[in-house]
Amino acid sequence: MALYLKPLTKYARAINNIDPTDAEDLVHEFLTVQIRRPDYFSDWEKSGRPLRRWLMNGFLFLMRSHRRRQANRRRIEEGLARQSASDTETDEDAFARFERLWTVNLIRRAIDETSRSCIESGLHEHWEVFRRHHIDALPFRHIAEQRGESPRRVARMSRTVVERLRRNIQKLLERDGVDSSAVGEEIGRLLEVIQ
Amino acid sequence: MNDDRDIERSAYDLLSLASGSWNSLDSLLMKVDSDPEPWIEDACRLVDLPQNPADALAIPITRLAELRSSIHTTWEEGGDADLLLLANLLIIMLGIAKGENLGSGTRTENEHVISALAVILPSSWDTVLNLALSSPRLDRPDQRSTG
Repeated sequence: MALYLKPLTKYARAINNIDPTDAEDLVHEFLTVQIRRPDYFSDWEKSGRPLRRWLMNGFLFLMRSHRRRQANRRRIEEGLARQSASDTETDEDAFARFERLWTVNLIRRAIDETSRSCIESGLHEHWEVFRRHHIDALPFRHIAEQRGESPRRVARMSRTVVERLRRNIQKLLERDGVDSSAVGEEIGRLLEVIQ
Repeated sequence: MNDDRDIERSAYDLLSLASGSWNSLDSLLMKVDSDPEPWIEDACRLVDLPQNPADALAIPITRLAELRSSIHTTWEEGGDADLLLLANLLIIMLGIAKGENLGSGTRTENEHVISALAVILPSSWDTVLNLALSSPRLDRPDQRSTG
């Protein structure tokens, strides 16, 4: 669930009329109580939707229940009705932020897993070349000069790591519920989200 | 642990490395990888590109652009799709090696293509590959000049 915690918390904080402390409590309640229901994940499997969307919808439902409870307490049902239109707009903005943060978290997780697997399998040097090029943004020619190797050699080393990273990103998306045949399409959509 | 800000800044490039748009390239590389030389000879012959890397590199950029345009025509006439894709990649690499982007690809796409060719091309292509991989055309806008 670590992949979802930070985006959910940020999403909750971005929603109108929710106190930041309440937002964190809601996320905590959601992750520790709501999704522990015995049929929560079997319902998700039946839905055929990515897990993050299932969690978002579930959290949205909880958040709206929370709002209703608040409104009842304060006897401001009329005010809530007036706010509904602007809330929808804000929810969409917050959802876009959630998706962006979730995507960056997914990449971060994939990078960490790739780094670990490279080091475990003796490809530490390959990982370093990849990291310096794709994360530190250092051109191949500079890395090659510093290592006393050809640009071709460092490009090949980096590509070995790229293959592992691709597999890890695909694996994480499939774990989120994306069908293996739709992973490419989903990556295309996520690229638009973070562009 | 990697620097979070660097990963966030590089997120788009990192995710695009996993994009499904590379499927046709991957599929081609798997076919070519075990015995690349005949593939390269056939691809060069199909589009009238010199098979000798030094001769190919000596071709003026305008001629390379013409050869690349001819690929589309040959494709429409039913030319071998794998060989035409390989020829296209070789021409794009030659263009980058000469400091020009002949394709419609982004920096990331060009780099991905040339890195893939670095895996399969015989050592006779070392000079072209090293020139292309050293080209400022492949530099990221936010690239750092020192490590």
